[in-house]
Amino acid sequence: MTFSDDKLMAYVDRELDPASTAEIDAAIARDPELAARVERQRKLRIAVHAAFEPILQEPMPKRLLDAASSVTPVSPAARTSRRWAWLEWSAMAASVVLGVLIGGAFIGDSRRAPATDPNTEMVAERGHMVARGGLAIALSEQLASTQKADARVRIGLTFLSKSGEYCRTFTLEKGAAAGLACSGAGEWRIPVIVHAERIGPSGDYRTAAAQLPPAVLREVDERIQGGSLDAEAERAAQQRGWKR
Amino acid sequence: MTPEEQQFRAELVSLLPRLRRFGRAIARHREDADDLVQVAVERALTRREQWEPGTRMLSWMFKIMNNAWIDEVRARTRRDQIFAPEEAGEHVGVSPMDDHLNALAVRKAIERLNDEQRIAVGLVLVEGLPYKDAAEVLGVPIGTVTSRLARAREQLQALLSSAEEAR
Repeated sequence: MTFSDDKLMAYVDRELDPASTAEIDAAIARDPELAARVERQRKLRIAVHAAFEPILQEPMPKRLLDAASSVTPVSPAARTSRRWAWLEWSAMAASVVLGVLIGGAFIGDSRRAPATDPNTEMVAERGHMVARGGLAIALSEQLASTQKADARVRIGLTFLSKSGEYCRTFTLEKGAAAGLACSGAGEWRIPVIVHAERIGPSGDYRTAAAQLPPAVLREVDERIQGGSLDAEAERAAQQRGWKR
Repeated sequence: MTPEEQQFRAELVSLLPRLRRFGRAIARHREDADDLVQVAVERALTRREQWEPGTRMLSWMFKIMNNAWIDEVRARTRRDQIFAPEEAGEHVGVSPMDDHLNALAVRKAIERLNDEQRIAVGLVLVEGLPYKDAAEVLGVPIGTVTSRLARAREQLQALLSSAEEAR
């Protein structure tokens, strides 16, 4: 049996159906000449891929990062009036590309910090922030009605979003950061997280833990379907594993 | 900046290394490749509403790069310095995969393919797209992708084996 170069190419590229693949596998085993032809194709494929692989590790030119993220710094005056400093999404993603840890102790890089690291509350994955560690546990298990006043993660509102996911607002570390998390595909995605600015020599946060920054409230307003859940509905949703 | 735009930009940033790699398969010069990525990123940002969330942004970006190459960047490439001095010394050496085909020789051979073949090689062999996805990016039937790939491979085999004999 003879095979065309096109067919062997598709074999090497793993584009053939299982039956044709098995047929060629069997033919290779008894035909050294065919085996050599396939090997040549395979070597070329591997060599081409390997020739470009190191480019992924090159430092990213600044002009490309700037073009894609265009981080606009917030002026000091605007900051004071807003009281909250945006942690820019785009800057966060750039730091993943560069492999740099940013944003203090509770933000990590998924490749460096294992999910079990209690200091890592969030990781960036494919452009999304996903809750990990203590934050993920609190989002899944903690109820606003029973949580302790001094809990490290405090849950605020729980509501059902227009797309049918459960979403919960939270604050971290006595109001050092506040955000929104929505459940889906077995994890909590974080569409927004805002860090508070420390003020005064005592290092207190300006905004009390119970209050949510406007950026988070805006996200809640955009997503919320009906009202927020009461204690009973929150408990029921928690017991269903945040599935409807 | 709206949260949607921030998220869009974050995803774009996370794709940059892949876009640069694909760019290097298309353009023959590193700076041209980065120009191509930059033009594509700028176009993507102005056409953000055309991207459907939930679909693969990578394929969408490859499509934009392919178009940007053909209708804009190709015409203003640095023709006179196909092998830039800083690149000539780069990645020289033996690929761990194969004693005979080193990275520089492979990249030089790819530079000699025509545009259509280089882009097909970039999508399938460099970026690992299935034929079907590559055909979608290029807006051509799968058969067209496979015939471009087959011709490109024949030529690469010929170029690389003659280079070996010349040693």
